[in-house]
Amino acid sequence: MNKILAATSTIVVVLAVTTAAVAADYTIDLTHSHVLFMIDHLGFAKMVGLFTNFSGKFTLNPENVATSKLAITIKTDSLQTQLAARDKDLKGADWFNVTEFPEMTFIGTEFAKKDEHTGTITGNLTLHGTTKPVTLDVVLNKIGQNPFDKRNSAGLSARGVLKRSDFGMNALLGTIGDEVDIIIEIEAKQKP
Amino acid sequence: MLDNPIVRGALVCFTLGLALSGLVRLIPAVAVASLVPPAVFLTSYVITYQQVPTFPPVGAVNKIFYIALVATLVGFVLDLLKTTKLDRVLAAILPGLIVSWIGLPRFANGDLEAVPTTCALWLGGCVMLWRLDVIAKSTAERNGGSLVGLAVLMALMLAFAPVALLGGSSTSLMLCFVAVVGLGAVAMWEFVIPREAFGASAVLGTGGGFLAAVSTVTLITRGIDLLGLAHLLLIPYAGQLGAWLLLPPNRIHGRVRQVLVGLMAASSVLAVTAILLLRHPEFFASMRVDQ
Repeated sequence: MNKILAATSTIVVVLAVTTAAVAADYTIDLTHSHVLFMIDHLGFAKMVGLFTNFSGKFTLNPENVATSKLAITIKTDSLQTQLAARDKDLKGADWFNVTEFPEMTFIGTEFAKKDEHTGTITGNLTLHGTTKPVTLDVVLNKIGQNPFDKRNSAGLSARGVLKRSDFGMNALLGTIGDEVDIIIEIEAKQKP
Repeated sequence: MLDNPIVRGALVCFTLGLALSGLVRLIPAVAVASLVPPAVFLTSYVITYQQVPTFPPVGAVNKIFYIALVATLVGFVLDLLKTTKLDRVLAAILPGLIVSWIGLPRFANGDLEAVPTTCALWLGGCVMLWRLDVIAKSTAERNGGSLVGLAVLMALMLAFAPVALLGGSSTSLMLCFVAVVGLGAVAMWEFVIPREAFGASAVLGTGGGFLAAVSTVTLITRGIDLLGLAHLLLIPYAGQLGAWLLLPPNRIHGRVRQVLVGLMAASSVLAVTAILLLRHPEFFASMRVDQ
């Protein structure tokens, strides 16, 4: 989730860098956005999980990327891993603890441009009651008008890595991986 | 085998339990010997969760460690004071404090569904700690003593392991398994060179830590089979009931009697497991396929 949030942040930054000169506010289109994570299982393969319920908005300021803004909230209870028993375990107190920590948030703090289509977003990820900085690499895929609803949209891909132990999720370290890959694909609609 | 984290953890705890329990034989003080079971439990926690949690604890899982630690220290003071009445008072009060602290986030959210479960856990916790205290401080001839107390604790954790797994906490299953093996090492020493009784730190520290783990899975993870969990309360009584029914008075004594009483207490583990298998066959079948 942190990775997803970070990726989203990065996307926002990239958009800010590459878009038109006017700052614009965007809202994430949940139906075309995805937040996934992957974690090593016993060294054999990576387990993939996703969060189906999240929301976010950002402001892109192409003339001054550093002033861009980003805030994303993910409902931890929306976690899915294609196995009900595992979902129950991961939502429990030992892992995401959705009862005590129903949301994870990512608030962008630093937005940087690498080139025309890439950049990084660093932000504060709050997960499992702990807040730590996370940086996402972001690629701005496209900015333009959606041909169906005619609204200005932006599409971003973000990738990042975090250590779950940094957030106090230490169960089964050494057996289940510490590093968590974050994969975020975002479509966002410009606010009218 | 050693690439299995549960086996590795169990081995560490077994070695620790064996070493500590052996060392404290050199010190003829119940207060010191009674620190060994909670030390094993705390070590099991650190092995399972790979951390000594920060203070103040963030989240219910981290609270388990500090509950066990504080309860152990309080019990140690009571053991030094050589009081029994205060033990029993704490056995009644401590579960309420533990369950309320673990369930606090749900109360703060106005979740009224948590109230009856919390009350049941409080009551069940009182029964468990009270009985543990009575058993651990009793004599072999009265179907108690340190060996029986350890057997009851181990049986409680063994029985809770599948309840926790079903309830969405495979980590609690590991915590219980690792602790049981460590306590088994302590029980071996108690069999070879018996002590008459265990003090309050063993009961409050280990039992309190265990109750905190149960409360976490029940109130925070929230997927537990309450009927299966309720049957854990059979365990502190099964040994005494079995002894009353099956062991002829004045004919079986000492350690043999304690082992038999302990085994009868542990037989309740089968009852709890059978209840879970009958009520949730699809879950355990899916776990078998998954593994």
